[in-house]
Amino acid sequence: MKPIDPHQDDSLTEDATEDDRFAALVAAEARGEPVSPGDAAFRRRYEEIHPDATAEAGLWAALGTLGDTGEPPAGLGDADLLARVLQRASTPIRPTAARRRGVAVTVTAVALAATLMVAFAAELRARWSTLGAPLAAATGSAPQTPSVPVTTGEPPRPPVAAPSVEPTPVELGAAPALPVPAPIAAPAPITHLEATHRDLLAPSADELLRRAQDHLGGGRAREAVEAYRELVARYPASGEGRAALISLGRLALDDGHGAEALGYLDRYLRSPGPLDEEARYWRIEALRRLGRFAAEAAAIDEFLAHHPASVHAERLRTRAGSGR
Amino acid sequence: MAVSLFQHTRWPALAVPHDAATESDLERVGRAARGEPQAQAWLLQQVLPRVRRVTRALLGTAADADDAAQLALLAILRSASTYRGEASLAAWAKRIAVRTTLRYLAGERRTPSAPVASEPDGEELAAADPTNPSEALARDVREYLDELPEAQRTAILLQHALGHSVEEIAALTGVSPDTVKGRLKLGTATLRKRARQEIAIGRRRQS
Repeated sequence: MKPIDPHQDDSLTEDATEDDRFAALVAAEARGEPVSPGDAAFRRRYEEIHPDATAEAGLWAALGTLGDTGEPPAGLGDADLLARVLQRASTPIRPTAARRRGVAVTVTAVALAATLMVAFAAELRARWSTLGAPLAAATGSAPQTPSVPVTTGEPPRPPVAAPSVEPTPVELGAAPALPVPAPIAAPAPITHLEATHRDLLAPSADELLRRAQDHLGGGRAREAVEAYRELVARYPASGEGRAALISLGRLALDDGHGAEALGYLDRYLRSPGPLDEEARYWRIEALRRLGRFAAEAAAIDEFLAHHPASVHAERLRTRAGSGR
Repeated sequence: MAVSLFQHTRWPALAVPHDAATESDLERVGRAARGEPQAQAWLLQQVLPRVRRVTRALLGTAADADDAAQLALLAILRSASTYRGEASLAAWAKRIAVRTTLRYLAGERRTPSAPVASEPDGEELAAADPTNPSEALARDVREYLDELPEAQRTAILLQHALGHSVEEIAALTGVSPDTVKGRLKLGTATLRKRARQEIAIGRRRQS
């Protein structure tokens, strides 16, 4: 095949054929990437030379939109998915058998040490008690715990909390010197995690829509597109998210990205909504832009069947009557 | 919410996107790496759409895509301490998601692709979804992809669905750029041939 455009600036593959370049361009356009004037001119020329290319473009455009997050979720919702991940991330590592054995040995050793220390302390105390009386006599102070109870005529009271020479039995879990690791907080409930990331992080659908409209009003189309895409990604089923599909379609069409526009508009029309009329109208324009005239005629018929009293109806009837 | 959609005017050409991480992103990712729950939730929220797109593009079923997305998000949390802000957060997360999903694919040991399907019959052509952007095609794009060897399919998906360059695909899949070019060329040619065949058959039957 002869080169169509000698000024190829294709960065995808240096030696790509025109066929490959066409495929890559259509897919890139469907992904929403900007297309350079040179690439757009190449695509027009290619489609002029290859009449079947317009139909084939559907394959590459479909590839470009694969995995689009605007698709209705078939599996886990975003909130559930994030909650699961956050829960798994906060779950402590389960100890292995070897690690459990190591911990048990450590606990036993520490407990034994604590027991010996208690016994040693009791022994010291007993010695201090026996040495305490002569020392008190020498210093004139009474020992805190007399070895012989003072007779006062009252029956002798049992000694209160007299230290025992017997070592106090120490339970493994109650060893005072046990270096207990800091307690690991149990994973927060899923509902709490959901509320956390929803409340603290995510802008609302309304905020995103306002942001997009502010950008549009300020002539910042790229930022508007980003905000609309975020809106569609975060809230695909909301009214705002669905309306954003049509705005994205309009913006894509304005920028000459017919296949991308068609993707957004088709996605909106997969389920009925209050903006069906707009979606159908701009879908007709997208098909026309893509040169898919048979599909355009079918789309006009569909539009007129659904919206016979639309402000666009007369013009579309005229267009259908003229064969275009 | 009612939205006026007919108030758009023409917009200037899209500007070159900013591709560097902001300082606040770096700080927040750092906090996520240190285990702060709110920062972790923020990080996951930021990268989720990109991760979703990667896993849904590379995997055929919603269940597989969800499983791989969870693994990818955990990998992103574990890798948060390595983020230096040299690339955008989205690009960094996308690389991790692609690598994780490719590992998931390899671990799944999927059954070999189905043999090339026979020519679609008239019913299949007539059943094509009229609202599908690829309505001229007889079958879903996944079915075309399933006819390719896995290496070609992965290369095609990484390039066309996820927008990776040849060099990036080579790095992600661990092969040379020439090998990637070969896989892309063969895969694209196969897809094109099948699509053209079926489009021609559909036209003949319509006429």
